[in-house]
Amino acid sequence: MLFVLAAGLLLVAVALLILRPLLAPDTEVAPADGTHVDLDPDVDPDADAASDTATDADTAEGARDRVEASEDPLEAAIAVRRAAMAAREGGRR
Amino acid sequence: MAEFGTFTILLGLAAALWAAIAAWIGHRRGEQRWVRSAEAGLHGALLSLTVSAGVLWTLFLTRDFSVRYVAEYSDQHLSIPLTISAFWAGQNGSLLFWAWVLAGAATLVTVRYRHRARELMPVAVLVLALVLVAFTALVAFTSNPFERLGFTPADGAGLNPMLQNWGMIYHPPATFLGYIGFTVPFAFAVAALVTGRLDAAWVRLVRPWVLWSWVLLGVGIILGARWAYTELGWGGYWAWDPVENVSLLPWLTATAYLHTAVLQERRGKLPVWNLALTFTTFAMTVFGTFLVRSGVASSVHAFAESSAGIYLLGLIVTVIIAGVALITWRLPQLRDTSARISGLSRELLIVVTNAVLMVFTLAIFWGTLFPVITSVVQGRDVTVGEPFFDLVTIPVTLALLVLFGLAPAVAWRRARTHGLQRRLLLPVGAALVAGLATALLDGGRNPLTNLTLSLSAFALATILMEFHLGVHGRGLRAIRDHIPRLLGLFRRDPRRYGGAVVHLGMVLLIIGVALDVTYRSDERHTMAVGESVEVGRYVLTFEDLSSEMTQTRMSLAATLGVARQSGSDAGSLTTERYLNVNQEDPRTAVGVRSLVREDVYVILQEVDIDSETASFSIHLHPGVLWLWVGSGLLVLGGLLALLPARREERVETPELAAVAAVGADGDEEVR
Repeated sequence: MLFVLAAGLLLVAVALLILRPLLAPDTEVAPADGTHVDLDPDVDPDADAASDTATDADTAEGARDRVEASEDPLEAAIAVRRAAMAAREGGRR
Repeated sequence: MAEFGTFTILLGLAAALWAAIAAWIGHRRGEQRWVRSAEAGLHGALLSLTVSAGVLWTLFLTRDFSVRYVAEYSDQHLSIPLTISAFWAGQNGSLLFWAWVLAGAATLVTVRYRHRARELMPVAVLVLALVLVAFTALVAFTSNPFERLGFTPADGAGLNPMLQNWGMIYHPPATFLGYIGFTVPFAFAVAALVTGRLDAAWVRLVRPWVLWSWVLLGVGIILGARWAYTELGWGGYWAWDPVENVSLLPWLTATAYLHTAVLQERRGKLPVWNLALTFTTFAMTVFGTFLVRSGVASSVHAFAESSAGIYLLGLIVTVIIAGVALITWRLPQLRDTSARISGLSRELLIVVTNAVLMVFTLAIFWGTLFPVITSVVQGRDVTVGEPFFDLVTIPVTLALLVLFGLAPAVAWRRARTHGLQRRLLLPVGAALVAGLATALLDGGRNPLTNLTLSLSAFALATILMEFHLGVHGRGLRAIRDHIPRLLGLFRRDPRRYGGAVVHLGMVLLIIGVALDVTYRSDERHTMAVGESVEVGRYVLTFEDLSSEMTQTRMSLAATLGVARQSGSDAGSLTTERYLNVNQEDPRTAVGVRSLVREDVYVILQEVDIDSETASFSIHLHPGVLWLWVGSGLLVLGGLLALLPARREERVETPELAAVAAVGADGDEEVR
């Protein structure tokens, strides 16, 4: 009896697993303005890293402001480096 | 419970089948939700097969002998670790293990590459699902480990005595993991062909899978050799057994692929060849499985003949036909448009390496298959033994040593003669000295060994120079900087220096085998307790004879002290003869004392308890330690090559030096 119950539970679990993506709307949708947006809840880790960099560094000016405000040389150096990276990113775009 | 196990296999099969269908629909319609459902199907298969594995282990551990597989491969007295390893001791369990791990690998692929390889994923998932369907169906319909006997015997037949060893716990799983991992590159190769994404993207994507599988299969092969050497008592580590050979085949083709994949990544060269190697490697893993399970090969590893063999043969044929058809279909897009390889260059050496590895692979394949074909076609038994394999292995080994030596010295695109002469001067000198020295030492009686050792010295010199140049750069550095600089090499260019460690390992392995094969000796002595004999440069003293009897095992153990003729102590070793319950013939446990120059290897042959005398077969195996050290480096090099490469940091100011230090501690954003 116990094994019948276990078998039933396993069957339901697997069925739910494979049906869930089909019941949800497709992740690839085209918004009204025509630009293609990926609404996939799982975000590309690579894209994530790039956007983080951009957010952290924001602009080179902002970073320099923070450097001037900082008294910690290490933090200042980090900010300078990030600013440089942000500038490079901007150049690429 | 066994019926529940059967249900979980069938559910796993259904989930895998669903994954294949959904992936196909997802590919045809271009709808992500179907692909997601296919991926979930693979996850469902993993869930079901994990439960199957759990059920089988539970049946083993609860000694449920009403299940045929449990009764055939375990008994009441089998230790817990060996009972756990009995899972893969027979065909049915090993195929379930295969399907289970494959489902795990497929799940890992879906999690890891879902976003990075969107275009390839539907077809890759389809192929992984189809292979999983094939293996799960094989378990369900030809090799169900949950089949009942119809009665419950009082005890099981027990695990084959030859398998009652610690090696059973780690050698088969490592080998299987290596085999199974090669399914992933195959799936992505098919996906690249079907979708037309034929650039080097798929090659980059599958590199970690090929390398991991290569490392794991290598570990499996090495552990098997070590097991044979230390436990089976025939004094060897490689017997050219058909099943040993078939484990080497995919390892060799994967080695070839790892080299030519670099050419495709760097220069866009040999795309057809890389696809063919990926297909061949996968086909070879299935061929190995077929040979073990079809009953056609006579081997210590082979299972009984079963209908699984014909299905596996069908799978091999399908893979070959699909591979040829897909590559032919895409041939116009696969033209190698890059500049031709001309003159002496690293590219040329890679192509030559591939040719050598292919000759070796084909020879082993033929030597393994020939007895099978003769048996099937002519109905007579033919054995292809060591002389045939030696005939091929020796020239291949010599060629590889030359290539190991040349590779670090020859530049990409085109090597300059002057620079090459400068870099090879020292290695050529080392080769001449080593060749002459070994020829003088053994009186020139073994010219082939002298040549092997000479070329080994050549290869060792160029590989070590590669590290030396990497550490020193253009200027001399303080000794204390050497270790951080050396480690830095692996962080900066893990492929290059990891590869160099692999080559270093191979050279040491070849030196070990060459020394052992040429200079090994074997003597037989009968001694009473307290007596000594001189063997080579050692004195062996029979120190103690003890017996032990437990509920499951009877054993006689002889302990021998090992001393050098100079009088210095070199430790001791113990060799045993034992008989396990449910076992007809007594077996031998070898006593080995590993020393830098050679292994003292003793097998207890016969014992007269009344007179406390025993006869021993005493072998000296020179250089064997280097075989194992080389094998270890081979694996280590593969793992090092898996490290992610870091760009070298340009530190210009004290502040940025501080930043670099922070970056080195793991802050990936700050570089």
